[in-house]
Parts: sequence; C-alpha cells; structure tokens
Amino acid sequence: MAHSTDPFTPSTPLSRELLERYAQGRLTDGERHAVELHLESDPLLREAVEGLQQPGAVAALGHLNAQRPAQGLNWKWGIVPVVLLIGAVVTFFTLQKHESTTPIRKSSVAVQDPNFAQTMPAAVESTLLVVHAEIDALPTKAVPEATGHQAASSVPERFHGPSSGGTRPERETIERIDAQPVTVARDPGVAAPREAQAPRPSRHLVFLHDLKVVHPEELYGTAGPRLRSPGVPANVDPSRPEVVPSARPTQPYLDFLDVALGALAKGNDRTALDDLYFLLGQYPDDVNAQFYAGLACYRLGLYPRGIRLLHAAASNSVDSFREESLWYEALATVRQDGKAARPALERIVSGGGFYAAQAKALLEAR
Amino acid sequence: MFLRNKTAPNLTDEELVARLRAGDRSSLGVLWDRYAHLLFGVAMKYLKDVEAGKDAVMGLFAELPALIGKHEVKRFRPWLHAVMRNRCLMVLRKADPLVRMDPALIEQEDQGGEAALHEASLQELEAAIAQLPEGQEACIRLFYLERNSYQQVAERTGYPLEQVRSHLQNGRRNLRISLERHGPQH
Repeated sequence: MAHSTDPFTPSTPLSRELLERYAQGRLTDGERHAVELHLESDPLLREAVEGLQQPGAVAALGHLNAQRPAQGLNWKWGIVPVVLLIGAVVTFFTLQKHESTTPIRKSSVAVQDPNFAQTMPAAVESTLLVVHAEIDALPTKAVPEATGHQAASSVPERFHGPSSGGTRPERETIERIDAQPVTVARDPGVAAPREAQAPRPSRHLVFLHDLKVVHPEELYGTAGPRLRSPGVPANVDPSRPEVVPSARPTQPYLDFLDVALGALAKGNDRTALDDLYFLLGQYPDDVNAQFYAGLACYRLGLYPRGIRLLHAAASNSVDSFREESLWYEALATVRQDGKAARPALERIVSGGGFYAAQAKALLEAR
Repeated sequence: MFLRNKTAPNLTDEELVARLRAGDRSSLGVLWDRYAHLLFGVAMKYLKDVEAGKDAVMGLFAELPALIGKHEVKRFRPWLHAVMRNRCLMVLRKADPLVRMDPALIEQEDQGGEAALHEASLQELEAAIAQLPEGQEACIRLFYLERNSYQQVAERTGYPLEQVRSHLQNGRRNLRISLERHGPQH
C-alpha cells in the first residue's frame, strides 16, 4: 500500500513567477521547500535555477521575453531582426550621447583597449555601462551615502550603516533606519563573533585594508588567477590613446583585490565597483567580488543590483560572507521596499548571529 | 479574431512538437512560454553571460522547427535540455578549444525510474532510509520527511549547502535502488 502523502511528489505546481522569486531568494522557508522538491526531481530545473541565480539573470528575462515568437502569426517572427536592429540603433545613439556627457567612463574601464577587449567579456562591458547609467540616474541627494564615510573621519568607518552621515532623501524608510543603531563599530570580517547556528568550515582568510577576503587558494586551489589590470594602462600616452601597448600587465589575484578594496576603503565605491565587476565578469562565482560589489552597490544606492549580488554572496558555496551578505541584503531591501524586508530581518533575528540585535532593533522600530 | 492564439495551452509538449512538425508554428510560442526562461537559466549556468545566454535561447528556438524535423523526439523536455547543454558546451569550446570540460560540470540525467520512490509504503521507506549513510540519511529525513528547505537542512546539520544537495541527490538515488532491489513488500 502506498502511503497517502508521498513525500517525493511536489504538492503544488511550479509557476515561473515562483521560480524567479526563488532564484532571487524572496521566498519563505515553506515556499522554498516546495520549489526545491521540484528541483530534486528535475535536472532541467536544477540547472536553470543555478543559472538564474547568476547576477542579472532574472532581470534579463524581461528582455528575453520581448523576443518571444508570436503565436499564429508567422510574419511576426520575421519582424524580430528588424526590431532588434532598430533597438540596436537606438541603443547606440543613446550610449553615444551618454558617453559624451559622462566623463567618468573615460577614466574607468578601458573598453576601447583591444588588449582589454580580448579578456573582457562583452557582458561586463555592457553591465558597466548600465551600472554607470544607474549611478548617474540616482538622485543627487543619495550621493552622500557613498561619500559620507569618507568625510566622516580620517579612519573610514567602512561598515557603518550607509546613513551614518550626510543628508538623506526625505524618505520614511531611510529616516527610520537612520534612527536605529545600525552602526557596526568594526568590520564584520575582523571582529564578528561566530554566533550563527550553522557551524562553518574554517577557511583561510586574509585582510586587505582591514577587509576580510577569502584566500584564493580556497576558491581556486592556487594562489588565484592572474588578472589583467583594469583601467587605462599607465604607459598609454594620453595624447595618443589609440596607441595601445602590446603587452598588458597582469596582477596576482590578491594584488588586484588590494586595489579594488583600497578604493572601497577610501569611499570610492564607484571605482571599486568597476574593478569588482571586471573580476566578476571573468569569475562570476568569486565570493569576495560578489560581496564587496554588492556592498558598493548598496552604498551607492543601487539597491536592486546590490540585493542580487549580496544574495549571490549569501548563497555562495563558500559561505564566509553569509552573515554579512544577508544583513546588507536586508538593509538594501529595507531601503528599496521596507515591508518586503521584514521576513529577512526576522530570519536574521532568529539566526541569533552577529547582526541579530541590530535586526531586532530595526524591526521593533518599524 | 484572427490574432487570437488557437493553440490549446494544455497540450502536452509532445503534442505541441507534433503540431510544430506538421507546420503549425504557433506551437512555438507555447513552447517558448514553457521553456525559454528555463533554457536561459541553463545557458547562464554554463556561459555566465546574459547576452550569450539570450543568443543561445533565441538561436535554439529559431532552429527548433528544423531540429525536430530531423530528430525523433520521444520525451521533449530532457531532449531540449540536452540540446541546450550541448550548444553551451560548443560555445565554450569554440571560445577556447583547449578548455577541458569537467565531467562533474555536466549534470547527468537521472536515468532510473522514480516509481519505486512514489509507490513505497512508509514502512518500506523508513527501512530504506535507515540504511543510508549518515549524511544522506540526515538530509533525506530533514528535507523530505520534515519538509525543511536546503538552507534549513544546512543550518541544522552543519553541512555546506552544496553538500546538502549532494547528499539529497545521492540519497534519493540510493533509496530508489534499495527500494527497487527489495521490491514491493505489500
């Protein structure tokens, strides 16, 4: 006799919307289990979810849907290339206009460099363009979030809540956060006591500018990959930018991160973000880059992007940044949509980790 | 009225494929709705590039009518999965012919039947679970019987998330083998 409640069969169908929310980490424990029952019996779903958890993947689905073949009207399928061509032309002129009014691009990643282009995935290039456009589109009032740390003290308080200084936009959610003791008086990687319930395997950590970094041997089994330096090479003649040196220097992984995190420590979030995206473009699963890029996005006010990166860091198989990632993901969610953050904050409280008290205080104030 | 979709959305994949093979291209839209987002996820897993992923999905759907005309497709879902995976691997190899694909990267389709799992009685299941290795037993109990999520299982057992998934996959396979070996006891 078969038992009445077969534990291997999902009790509910899996909608696309539920799958996307799962990939974004926006489900309750019960809902997650329901989705995961489907994953256990379906290899296609398992691989699809892994891919959809990549930064930017769920957001890109909207664009993909625009390419859907029309039903019943075959001629529409033939229109797709025309629409794409028009889109490409519009995008080209938009970006041309954007470039002419955005001087930061000229000093950031050297996408015009042919040597760079050999190693720079096209997606990174386009992602950086989008990120820069997002930053430029932010209200000017949000800028102090990124610069406040720098101005606050000669010793940067890097992991303070982003609202520890400067003027804030007149938004209720942000005002409420400002009233809370979200300031962490030390780097979570330096002094965070390990109070979480889940035991973690000890990993080889190093500290760059007092920021925790998982040693590359934990991620790559070696000293880590050598990375080409982002940005314009030092030996490029500014008067002749078209002349590119034949050999582009490479850096050890930790040296590369040292530069990126140095920028982050000084409050240069945008520069740090460029470098970290450069790294993510080649090593999307790099947990160091995921977390610090997410943190930079958070401090810049790019909350949806920050949430995706921090979620990726929180769910990375190398879980050294899990607590910090969940906390900053929750803070970013608070700033994006205060109500949606409650379950995340409650999970942090129930987890009893380093951020539990702050999460509890935040919840009680809301 | 002539714009209305006349393809019944409740047709099976195989019925839609049969229609598509017969020249009804409107079936393509329904298959797109069912699979485009999943195939994009698969492409993202391997290619890790949004634009390349979108290209892979659009390319596959553009060629789908011709592909199913050339191949006998008994079970569309695993076939489509295999086609997309192979395309992604071809893209990776084209970018770097020296890249050796890690066999572990390519998840194997579960070849075995699942009937033994679904038809087992609770007593049979309990007995089979008790014979599993420690890690697999704990994860199977917490996930399937106590309905914890992967994350909750990881927190309760102390295993990393990837190991929880691995224990669940291996445990489920071992359970099925055990149940099939002993046969129905009822």
